[in-house]
Amino acid sequence: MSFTPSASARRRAAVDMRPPLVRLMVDLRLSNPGDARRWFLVPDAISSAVQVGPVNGASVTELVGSGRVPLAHFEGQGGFFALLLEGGASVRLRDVSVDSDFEEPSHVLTIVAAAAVVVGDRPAAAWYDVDPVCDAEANASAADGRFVGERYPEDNPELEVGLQDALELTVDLGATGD
Amino acid sequence: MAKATDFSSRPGAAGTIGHRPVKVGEWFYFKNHPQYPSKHPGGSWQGENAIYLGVSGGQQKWSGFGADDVTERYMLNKLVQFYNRPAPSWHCTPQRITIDTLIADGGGFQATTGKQLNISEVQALK
Repeated sequence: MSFTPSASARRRAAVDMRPPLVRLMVDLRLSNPGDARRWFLVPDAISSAVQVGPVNGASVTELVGSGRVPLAHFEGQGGFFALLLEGGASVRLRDVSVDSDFEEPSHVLTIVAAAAVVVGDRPAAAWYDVDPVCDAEANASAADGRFVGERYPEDNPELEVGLQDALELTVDLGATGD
Repeated sequence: MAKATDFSSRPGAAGTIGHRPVKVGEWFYFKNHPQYPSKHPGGSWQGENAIYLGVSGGQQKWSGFGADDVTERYMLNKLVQFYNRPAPSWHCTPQRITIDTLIADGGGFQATTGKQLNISEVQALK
């Protein structure tokens, strides 16, 4: 049995935005089979380079579905969605909005699993106003939830993201022009 | 067809990012950095005309021409992202901007552009 975090994804739809942007609607399954908690960071845009940060701050939503899923969206030039999974947890997350760009035709989404995440000078959990841990089994839509709150420092600083014991999980979403 | 919005009569003036004192149906402009046309001649991210949709999921949402159902912060990040794209033949400053420098240099939400669409007049044109 593997204790390595895993991720799988399926692209459900693609919506044309202003060129060259295309918005992909993606369903994800994230699993943390080990004993320790892990953060899963899902980029909000596909890029040819792995990029987590910089960000300006975060908004947090508790998603609707089976099980509790607090989802933080850290927005910025390296924006991402963050979820904290207990050891043994598996979460299905539907309708995640990921921007793709046909001027940079990569279709690989690189999800980062990390033991600890620091945004600016604060642990990722400190950006939430609620307990950030997802239920061990959950299935929720990122398009439907209760807004908890947001934290954006004044002057919109570009905050670097620090990772500890990070692992990259790549999933192929297929070509944008499909 | 459209009536100008007068922010001077509203408390809180133009508000802050994601918290604008606007009404559903009002139409505003989100402007990129003034140097965008020089850095990216013919580029399609000079700015975004957007109509305010109201609060959804706890956040103010806007619909632009090609940026549907998005937050103001999303639009600002896209303006910055496309400004910062490489332009090999360009030598002016700034080469790279942030949301803060975008706003400081006159970009972002343009409070004076607000217009309230009159739906009945729009329909009468059909």
